[in-house]
Amino acid sequence: MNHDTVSDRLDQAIDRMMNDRIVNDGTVVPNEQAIADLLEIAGDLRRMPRMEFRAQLKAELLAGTAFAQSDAGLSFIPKESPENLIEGEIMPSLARQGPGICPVRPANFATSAALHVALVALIGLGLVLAKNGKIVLTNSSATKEVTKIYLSGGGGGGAADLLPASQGPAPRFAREQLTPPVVINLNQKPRLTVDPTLIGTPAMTVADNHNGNPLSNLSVPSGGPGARSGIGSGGGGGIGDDGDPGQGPGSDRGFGGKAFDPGHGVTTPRAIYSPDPAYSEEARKAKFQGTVGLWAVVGVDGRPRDLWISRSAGLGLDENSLETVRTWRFEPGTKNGRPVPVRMYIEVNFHLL
Amino acid sequence: MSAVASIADERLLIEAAQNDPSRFAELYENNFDRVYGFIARRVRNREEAEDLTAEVFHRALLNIGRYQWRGVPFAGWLLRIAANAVAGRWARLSKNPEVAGEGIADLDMGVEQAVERQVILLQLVHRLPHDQRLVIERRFTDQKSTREIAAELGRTEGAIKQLQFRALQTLRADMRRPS
Repeated sequence: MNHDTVSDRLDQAIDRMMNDRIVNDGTVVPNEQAIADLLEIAGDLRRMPRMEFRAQLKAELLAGTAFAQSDAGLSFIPKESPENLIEGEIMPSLARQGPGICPVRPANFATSAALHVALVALIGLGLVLAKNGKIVLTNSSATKEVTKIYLSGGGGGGAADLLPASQGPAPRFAREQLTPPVVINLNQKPRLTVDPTLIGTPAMTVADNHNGNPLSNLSVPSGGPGARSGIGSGGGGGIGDDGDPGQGPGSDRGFGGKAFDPGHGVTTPRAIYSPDPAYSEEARKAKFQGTVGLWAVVGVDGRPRDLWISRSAGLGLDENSLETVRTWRFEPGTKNGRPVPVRMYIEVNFHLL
Repeated sequence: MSAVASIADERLLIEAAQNDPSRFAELYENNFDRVYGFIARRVRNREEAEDLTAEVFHRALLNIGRYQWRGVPFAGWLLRIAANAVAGRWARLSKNPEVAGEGIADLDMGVEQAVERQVILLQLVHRLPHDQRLVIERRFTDQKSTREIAAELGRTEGAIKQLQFRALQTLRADMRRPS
């Protein structure tokens, strides 16, 4: 007997165990003792957590530490002391009476009942929306989790003008910049016309014919006192007061500045209206499941802005995620008790049953 | 001596986390395997185990300020929260006696030993050679076939089966080795 044969038989036994969806509890009994021993280990391994779960949970906990200090966040977690829960009451059940171990708390019962009704309604809505009868969109999801913090973005430029940069929408974002944005175009007859761009994810489009600094108050045309083309007082071919070809305070590409990161006294915004994105027809047909990760700045009005995809799933799910997340509303993050814009990372999971 | 030192270290970690919750990370790392193993032995699938594990650590972080040092391992406090979370789940399932009964039956069969075994196994998996660990994770947590893993890693199916076989042999040998 060589190892190849044993490893083949072991693999077949593991396959049977996995397909039968049973842990090795004696239902799968291989003939060889050697394989049986290894299969027992394999049964235990089925309970291992996912590779990324440990790190994700840690990131979640760290992102929530600001809440733990202020006791203002994580409102979905009951405030009771864990010891009290153990010694006093376990958990109330929806049926008001459990099998002798579940005391009833009317407020919790009412909350539980309301949540169940809402859940049933959502599932019903999902069934109605699912066009293909064979695959039901559970879309579990749309789990919204702050898992990490975005630290870059922004840029600046200028045209050596005496006045600060004038107001106007920013040009579109593109992956490369052939020509920086300008307010006053000195070359009226270019041989080759190229649209000015800022460097960033193309999804962050703010296209317009009249370029300028969206944050400026000045209406007289001016490219700003900066250098190396662009608009503003910076020096990097972008828009704003710093360097690099993005827009806003900060460096590098993309949008920047004017937003806080959670932690150090800044609380994370909490979603109060967050409908699930729809499954795209393309993804449904392909039976595709995946996760879309996107960054957003939640303004003091609780509306997400400056959305951009950092983890793409494709098949139309990116677009659906962007479209839906734009409609979400948040309780804004705060610093010293006052609402402030806060950057956050949102993950939307798409699953099919 | 080392046990005393580790208890003292743990107390310092707890005090640090009480003053600055961002220091909770080390307590989390030290206790993750035990809490997860405890829960995984009491529920039916990985998804439930992960949900409950997350709930336990969120609760612990929220209540770390109220924790009072009594000279016992911090894991004991976490496991009490975990037991409560599992009990809560059973209570929610109590309308379905068949499902709830499965979990309770599992608890009856020497579950403490099984938890200890699960914790050790989780730690031993981390010590496997990289390629063996990769195969084990793909096979059992991602539930992929050896063919799928072979395609993903650019190896032959036979090589993946060999790696799986050797990994399980190593784990079995390590599990039998006296600690």
